[in-house]
Parts: sequence; structure tokens; C-alpha cells
Amino acid sequence: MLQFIMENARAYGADECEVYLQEAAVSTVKFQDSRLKSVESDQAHGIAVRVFFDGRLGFATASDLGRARLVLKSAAEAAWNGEKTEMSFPSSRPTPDGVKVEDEKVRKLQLDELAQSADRAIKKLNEYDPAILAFGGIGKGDLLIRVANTAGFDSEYRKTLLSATLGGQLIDGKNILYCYRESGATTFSVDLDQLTEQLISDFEISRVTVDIEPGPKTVVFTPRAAAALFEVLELGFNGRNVEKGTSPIRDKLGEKILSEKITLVEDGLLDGGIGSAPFDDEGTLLEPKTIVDCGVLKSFAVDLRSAPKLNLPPTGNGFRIDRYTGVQTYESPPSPQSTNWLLLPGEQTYDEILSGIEDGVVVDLMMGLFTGNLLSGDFSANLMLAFKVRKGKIVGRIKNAMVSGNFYEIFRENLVGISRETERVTEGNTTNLFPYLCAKNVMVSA
Amino acid sequence: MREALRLADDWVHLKKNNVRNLIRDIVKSFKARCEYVEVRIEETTETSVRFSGKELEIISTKTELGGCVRCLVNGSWGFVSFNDLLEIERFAEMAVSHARLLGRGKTVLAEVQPVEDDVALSLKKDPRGVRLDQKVSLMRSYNDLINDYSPQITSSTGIYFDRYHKISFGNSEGTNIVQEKMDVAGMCSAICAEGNRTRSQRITFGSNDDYSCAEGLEERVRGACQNAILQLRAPKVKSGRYTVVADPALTGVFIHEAFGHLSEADNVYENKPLQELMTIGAVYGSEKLNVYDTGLRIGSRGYLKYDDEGVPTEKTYLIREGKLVGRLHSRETAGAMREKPTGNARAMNYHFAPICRMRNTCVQAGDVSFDEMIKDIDLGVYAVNTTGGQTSHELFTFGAERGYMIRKGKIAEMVRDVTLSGNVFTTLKNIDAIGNDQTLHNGPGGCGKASQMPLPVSEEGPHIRIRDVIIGGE
Repeated sequence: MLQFIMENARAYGADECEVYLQEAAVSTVKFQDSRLKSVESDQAHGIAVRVFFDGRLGFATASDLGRARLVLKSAAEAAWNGEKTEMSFPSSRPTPDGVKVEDEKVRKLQLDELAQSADRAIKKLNEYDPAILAFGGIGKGDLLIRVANTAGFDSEYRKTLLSATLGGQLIDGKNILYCYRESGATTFSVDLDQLTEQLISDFEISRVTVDIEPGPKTVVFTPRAAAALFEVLELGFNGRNVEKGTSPIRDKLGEKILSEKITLVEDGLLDGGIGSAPFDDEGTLLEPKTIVDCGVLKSFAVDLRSAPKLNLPPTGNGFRIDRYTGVQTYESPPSPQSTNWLLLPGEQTYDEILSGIEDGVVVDLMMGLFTGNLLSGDFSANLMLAFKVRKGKIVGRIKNAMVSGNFYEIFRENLVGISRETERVTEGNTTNLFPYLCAKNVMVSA
Repeated sequence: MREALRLADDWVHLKKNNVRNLIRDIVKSFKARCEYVEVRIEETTETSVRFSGKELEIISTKTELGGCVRCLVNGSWGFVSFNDLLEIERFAEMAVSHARLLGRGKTVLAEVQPVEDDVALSLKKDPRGVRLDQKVSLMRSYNDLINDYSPQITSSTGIYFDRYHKISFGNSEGTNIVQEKMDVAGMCSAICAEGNRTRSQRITFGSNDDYSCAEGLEERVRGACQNAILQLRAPKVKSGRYTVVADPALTGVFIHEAFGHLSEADNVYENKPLQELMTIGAVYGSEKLNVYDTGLRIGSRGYLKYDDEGVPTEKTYLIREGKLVGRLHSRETAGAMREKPTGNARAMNYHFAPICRMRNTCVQAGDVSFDEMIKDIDLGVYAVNTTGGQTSHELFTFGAERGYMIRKGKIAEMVRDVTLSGNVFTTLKNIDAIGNDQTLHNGPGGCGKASQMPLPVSEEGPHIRIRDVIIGGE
């Protein structure tokens, strides 16, 4: 059918054409209030067509594979109303046996096994504390992606997905505590027992709420908090923002933008990584690259459209990601997107970092980060889950407090420690590996 | 059944009766094996235009056709969504086996009268009657206005979309509804970048029944340009606790985050400790505070005649004179709590089962003028427009697009990066003045919950004054 669309496009006089096909089957067992509530499946497919007429670009999508001609017609109509766009489709083919993004063990998982696992996790959490109401879901997915274009690229891959969210709510008087843990992989490597242990330890250290004096503090960001903050760098690194002149690091290639302690690698071929793939959603092959080398900016995320404008080769970052949910979907046009980010670990252990703090805060979950002016690096977030540190020890949970600052300033000037331990953090369509990051003079409001 | 579909599966829209019959047939053949079964089939066509800087970045159309079956067996839910309608029987079968997996639960659906209805669109100006090139020209005109406004403006974003839905719904209790919906919305933003500073300001528009909401925005767009330039020099707000005056757009997001989500009954219906905090009659605000959520507000993106369980929507008071008086129910939550269903079960689209969601959420206007509200504030912040918000029920946060310091009762200098935080048990009680100027706010975004986003919702409210709000900052 992809070939049919491209042949028709040529017959209608199109210069170039690209077809993207996605098939997805996802099933999830959901639980809330400590009981299994539903089993849900989604079996859907769709196509996206990009077509050039007279150098003008049009885009259309449809869920109905039988509507091939209609999609092409819609894309053509869009192109006639579109603008001249300089861009060329890739032709090189991926090598087989590259990256591991599917696992028969995931594919063969039965829904009743997922339900039993969920049940076990709920029981374990309630053995720890029967007052905790567990919520979450365990899901598995099977995805097919195919990209074909008139330059000669035609290739597909399959991806399996396994994901788990486990959370709990504990109410004590007028104190509502939420904790949750998430994990996801393309291979059979989601450890629900470990997730449950982590969640129990989150609850354990959140039992006591303590007050905090506002002011600049030494702050430790846990791996997931650090990964969330690095969304700022994703925006700066995004080739579209570079090209439009809105990224604050647009002219900083080869310059020091962060502390020399920071080396950040993007690995789109990470085994089991959710963001891993042999090629991006435009057919550009993926390969690992250094983004920040000892504080120095080394690359941007370049898709096919940004490439000619930036005079850089495409970097395998052209993905079709829903801007709200972070999910890969044929419905979204390709744009520069990051894949799996790995921030290289430091020397100290997390405990050693903590023991050096006289008066500080550990930030674990932040709320409302996205409401800030992240493009410029300015953030201000509510501390959904954070802890006070006194004389090297966590002494209790703090709430009704905020953390704020400028990402670039904090991680250039104020970074004092990077932990040896790293954790896998699943976020949207990526798996990131982050250590604990410790910075001084970070403003905490309360 | 298959034949009917093949006929319908043409380049034209599905014939209403074919879909109706298909839903009836499936419901009929699965009814005996379930306590309850429903089928929803959705057809969507969407046009979108996006400018990024001077470039027309996206011009696209989307057609979606898909459906879902949800059934209740032994008190547990099975749900399957799909877009191969020819296989609907197989998917319905799968939904039944999904529900059976979970064994015996307890689920009581609140009773509602079965409805047979056909809800046709009633539009002021139909976006489908406007040619694609005219939509592009309109957005281009705003975009040019921004990029030509001043050399200090580096870039711009312009987003427009219109979405037509036809949703056919039927259940085993005899409800059969075909509902057409329109959603049109967008935004224009002016972006200034100078060195490592990037600032932007935007205007938004949206409607459920009128393309005109996208027209005649030149004055507002110029205002956004001017504010974006001013933001370049505006200092960061100083961190601390302030008396805050929120403008109507921010009031809307505030109430959505502060109380709307907590009122969604799926948080409460099987949660005893939360039920104790949320008993009817509990005091959450001063006597001046009235809050409601309505599906009946024509012109708002939250307008809805029937929810995705086929329940008619209504105006639901959540807080009256400071006291909790109601919540946002699905049939399941209303059944469990022995309360009246309110028509708040909504699904983002056919890929999802309906869950408790808001529609158009409002703080009811009071009688205080803006001047009166600020005149006694020695040091405060006037927080304007919104960049969104988030909640974990007790704690919530919401962002203003810009702020102005209030000094000795007067609006003073502009500040930036105004993000506010509150606590549901204290902040609502700290609202001590409610303005007399209720305004509807529609934007292109929406609400997110359980991976279902952006669901079209809207907010409405007056200016309000809140004491003792935490603002993060320098």
C-alpha cells in the first residue's frame, strides 16, 4: 500500500513523497484504590503522508488504511496551499541486527500474568501499610513502524514495550501524600518487585512532614528530578529552536554551556531503551552521539527540515511525537526530538553527597515545571515530593514549597556533585540514565 | 452488518443509520453476557495550520475513524478500542474476555433514563465553510504582524485547528445517540530572544461553535508583541508569600487545578479517607465563594450535550457559599456514592474509556471592582494570563504568563516567571475578594489526566484576590 501511494503521488505529478505506517497493539491492566479495575486494549493503525508538489510540502494522516487515495489527496491539497520547503528524503538503508527493541518474552506475556503481577504489587504495598491506596497500571505493547520514500528508503522495524506505573496515596488528617514509581523498556527488564521496594521506601521517608526556612539551599536532584530538569536542555538542543533563533544555546556549539563535570550522551541504540530504534520516523539512521562533553556543547537535534537551514546533517532525531503525551504517533508530523539521554556518573556515592550537606533539600518530584519559561532555562516548580536534609541526614518531607532558578546558571556555576549511582528514568518516549545531581545556592520558597 | 459497512467505507462520511444499526447489533448480541455494554464509534476530521517564525511549518488534514466497546462483567470493566470496524465483533469478544480476567468486583451504575437523540451542529460560523487557503491567510496575517512589529521580535508561533467529530453511542439500556461536535481553537505568540534570554507572550482563542473566534485578533496580537518586548527587561519576581490578584484567565486555571480535579469523583468513590475530607457540607472557602462546572455553556470548548456515557450534562455546583455541595460524576462513581450522575464521564477519543473530567469550570462572579480589590494591597502581585497548572490534590501550582507588582494600592512594574503554589485546605479560604467581571477563557490546550490529553475544557471567572500565596522566584 505504501508503494501504491508513492506511485500514485508520482502519477499526480508530485516531486517527492514519503509514507509512514504505524500499527500498534497495546494492553493495560489498571488498578486504583488497591483493586484491579479494568483491562484495556487498543489496536490501531494509521498512515501519514508527506508530499511535495512544486517544492511545496503538504502533510495528511488517516487511521483508515483503506483511504490511501484520500490521504494522498488531502496531503496534495495541503501542499498546494503550502510553502516551498527545502528538504530531501534519505535513501540509505539500515543494517540488520542493529539495536534490540523487541523481545519475544514481552510479546508472549499473557494479560492474566500482568493482572497477577499487579495484584502481587498491591498486596505487598498493603502488607507494608494497609492504609495506602495503590494505583497504577501494567501494560505491554507491540508496535510496527515502516517508513518509505521516493528516494528509495523502505524499511520497517518492530518494537515491544513493557511498562509499569505503581503509586499509592496515603491520607493522614489533612495531609494527602502521593508517591509513585514508573518503569518502561522494550525488553523484558521491568522489575516490579524493585519498583514496589522503591515505592515503599518513598513512603517510609515521607511519613514525617517538617517545616523549612525559605532561602538559597544546597539541593540534591534525584535521577528523575534531574532528568525532568534536563528537558530545558532538550528545548535548547532542539534544532527547530536553534534554527528559529530562540534557543539560548543556538550559537554555542563548541562552547562551554554547563559545568565541566557534565558529559551527556544521546544513545538511540540503547538496548531496551524506549526511545531506541534503528532509524528515526523520517528514515535517518540512529547512532550514539555526545551532546555535552565536559560541559562543552557538541551537537543539536537535527531533523530533515532543520538540516538545510542549519547546514548540518540530519542526526536521527526526526520523530513523530504527540506534544502533549510524548507518545510516538503517525498523527504528529516529524520534528526534532531527543532519544535516550545518559548523563555520565560521578565519583561520590549518593550517601557521601548527603553527608556533606549541613542544611539542604532533596528534590524528587516536581509539579508544574512546564508552566515556566523553560526555553530560556527559567523554572519554578512546586515540590510534590521533597525532603529536608540536616547535618547529612534526611529528616522529613517538606511541602507547600517551591524550587526555582535558571537551569543553565545552576548547572554551569553551582553544580557541586554528581553521584556514582545512576537510575533508569522513563519519560515519554525515552529511557534516560541519570545520576543524582547536587547544586548549591538553589532558591527554595516556602 | 459487514455489507453495510463496506458500503459505508467509502470516501464519503459514514452513513448515520449504518453506524446506528451496527452499534445496535453489537449491543444486542453481547447484552446477554454482560451486566452492561456500550459501543462508541467516532469519526473525526481535522485541519491544522502552524506557523513557526516566518515559515508555514505545518499544513495538514487528519481523518480518523475508530470505535470502542466497553463492557461490565462480574463488576469488572473490559475495554477495547480499534480502528478496523470490520472486526468489531472480534473486538467486542475481546472486551468481554478482558472483563472476565479480573474476576468479581462490585460496580453499580447510577440509573439514567435511556436517550435516543440526534445532536446536529448549530454553528454561528462553520469552519468547514472556510477554505484552507483562507485559514492559512488569516494565520499568516497575524504571523506577519508579529514578525514585522519590531526588530526585537525574533520569532513567532501561530497555531490554528478545527476539529469536527461525529460520535455515535449506544448501550445495553437502550440509549442511542449520534452527536456532532465542533472544536476550533488556536494561539499566536510573539517571541523575543536577546543573548541568552528568550521571552514570549501569547494570545489564545477557541470556541465550540464559531470560526469567528479566530478573526479580528489584531489588537490582541499587537498587545502580545508589546508585552513580549517588555518581558525582555522585566525582572524576575522575588520569591516569597504575596497577596495575589489573579485575572479571569488565571482564576479559571486556578480553580481547575485547586478544586476541579479534586471534585472528580473517581478519586473519591472508593477512597474512604478522601470521602471524609470531601463530605457534602464541608467548608472549603468563604461565604463569597461559588464554584460550578457546566457542560451547557454555548461558545465554550467545554460545551457538551451528552457525555461519553450518553448522560445529559448539566450545571453542577461544586461549592456554594463556601461549602462543598457536589462533585463530577460518571455513572459508576455516582452509583457507588448514591449521588446523582452529572454527565462528567468523558473520553479524549475512541482510544480511551470515559473517566471523570471537567467541562467549563467557573468561579461565579462577585461584586468587587478591580480598583477596590487592589487599593488596600501594600505589596502584592497582579498575575495575568496563564501558562497552565498541575495538582496532586492537596498541593497545586499554576503559572501566570506575566505579572505586575502591586505597590501601595497601585499597579507597578512588570515582572516575569510568576509561578504560584497553593494548598487546597488553606488557599481557597484565603480568597477574600471576588470580582464583578466574569470572563470566559478558551485556549488551544486542554486538560490532562491518566494519559488522556489535551481534552477540550474551558474556564470562566472574574478577578479574584488571594492572600498568602507562595510564588517561586529569585
